[in-house]
Amino acid sequence: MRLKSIKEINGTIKLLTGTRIGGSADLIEIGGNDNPVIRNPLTSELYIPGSSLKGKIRVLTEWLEGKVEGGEVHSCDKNDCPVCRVFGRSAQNSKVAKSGPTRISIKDAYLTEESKRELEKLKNRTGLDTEWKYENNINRITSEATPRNLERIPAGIEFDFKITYKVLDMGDNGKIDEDMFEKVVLRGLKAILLEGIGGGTSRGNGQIEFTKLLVDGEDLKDSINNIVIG
Amino acid sequence: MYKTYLWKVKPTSSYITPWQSDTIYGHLLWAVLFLYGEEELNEVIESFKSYKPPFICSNGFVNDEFPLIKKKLILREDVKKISQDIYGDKNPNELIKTIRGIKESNKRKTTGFNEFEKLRNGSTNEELLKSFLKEKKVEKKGVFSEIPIMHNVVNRLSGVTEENGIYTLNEKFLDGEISIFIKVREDFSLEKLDSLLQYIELNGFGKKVSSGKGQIERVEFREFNEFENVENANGFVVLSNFIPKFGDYNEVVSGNIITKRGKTSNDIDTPEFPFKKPFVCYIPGSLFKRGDNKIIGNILKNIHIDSRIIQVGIPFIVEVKI
Ligand SMILES: [Zn+2]
Repeated sequence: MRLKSIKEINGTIKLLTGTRIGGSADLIEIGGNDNPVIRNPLTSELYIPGSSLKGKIRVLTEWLEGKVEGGEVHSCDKNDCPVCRVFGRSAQNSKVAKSGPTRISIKDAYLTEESKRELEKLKNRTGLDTEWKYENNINRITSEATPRNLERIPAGIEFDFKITYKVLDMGDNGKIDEDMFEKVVLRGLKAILLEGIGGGTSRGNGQIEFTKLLVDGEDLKDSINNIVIG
Repeated sequence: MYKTYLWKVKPTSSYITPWQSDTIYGHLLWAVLFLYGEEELNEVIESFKSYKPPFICSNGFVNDEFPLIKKKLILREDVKKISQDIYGDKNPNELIKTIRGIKESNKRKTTGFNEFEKLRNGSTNEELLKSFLKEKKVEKKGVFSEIPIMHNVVNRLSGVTEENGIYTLNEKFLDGEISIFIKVREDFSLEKLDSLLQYIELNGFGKKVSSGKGQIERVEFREFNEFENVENANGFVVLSNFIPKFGDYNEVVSGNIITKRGKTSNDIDTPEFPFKKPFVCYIPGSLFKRGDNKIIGNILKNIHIDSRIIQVGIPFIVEVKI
């Protein structure tokens, strides 16, 4: 096992609709400040955690690869399983699979300088740098509707994001990992373009576009848009 | 022979795993494997096992705050004399001030570099306390915050997070820099070490690097000659997690111990992690009277079902005149 290369994706996500990235998703719903968006505690700046993007892309990939069996996160011990090889697997499975470390690393996405300024202006005008929106939450059992006041990052805001991906030579000169970059990572990016990010995407939250998408410096925005899923 | 280098990094994201030497060693060994292959890794492991380590790492210190060396605790009966030494007369108000100062000073766990060097060079804790009481100067510290961040796992079928799908991780946010001191064996290629550090900088440090935790960028990597030679040194202070072996020291002057469960990899994202057996070690700031051993510290073998895996407990030390 030896590292062959590390691919680097540098991009910018633009929010097309208000976006909810809270730590607690749809379960915790008591209290006034419902589901606050995530902020850096030192600077109070909004950010999108890498774990949130990674989680979303992983779920979508599990569906695309036909790896959803129950409600659980997929994990298996097949060396060349695209989900496990790219996004990681349980320790027990890793011991058997011997496929090396998790290939993908999705970093936290930070506000662009321009968006920081925009949010600053918004805050000066309204006192807040986010928007609050009431949504009806339907209890699945009682069918009772509970209005929740949810915080959203406003549309138009942009975040710079970065993904790295390890290509390891496992006696194949890195071919499997190279293939999976196209089939899993790039397709996963297309999938979040279609699905959106954060909570409440079925209600229209979290729709995005990439205003920049460079893979090792090469502009792949159009090729991602052209990927056909399904 | 070894030369000392400073590797200074700046976190560009929150991180979960503290910067402790055993973890840093682990990262360096993984980097050897990924960059130079299994054979090279075995060579490096062998040199650790035979106590000729190619590199010796310290823990990471935030904004040059060093552990406070405790040669002697300030006792209650010393208060009066210290107060007189500083304030001259026997004014009871000054005595209260002194007691308060001692309490405050006893709470301190770190010092700046200058104080650290003074203590190494024969200054006493009492002298340090006096100047602390006189000057009351506060050293610049990094802005640091550790908070639990909630994460959730979505149920694949229902599409929502269920009760058992929520967990929290304590994430550390730091606006500051982290210094790691590394002694490098003179015949070990500095370029190679540099490449290992660059790999860590690229890949990230600690748990959850695959979701962006532990991101860092280099501030500097340079030779470091600022630790002064201490004449007539009879002891040493460790700047790492230190697993001792027989003969490393004659006496523990002041030591703090933790129990750790080591981890075997730096980027497996699951809770059911392949733990090594737990081990006990001294932490930075622990102070010892010297023994006869040249290389201090132990290498633990047989701590994991995979027998190749070792635990490096060799500390970065600097001499102290106790
Ligand atoms: Zn799998």
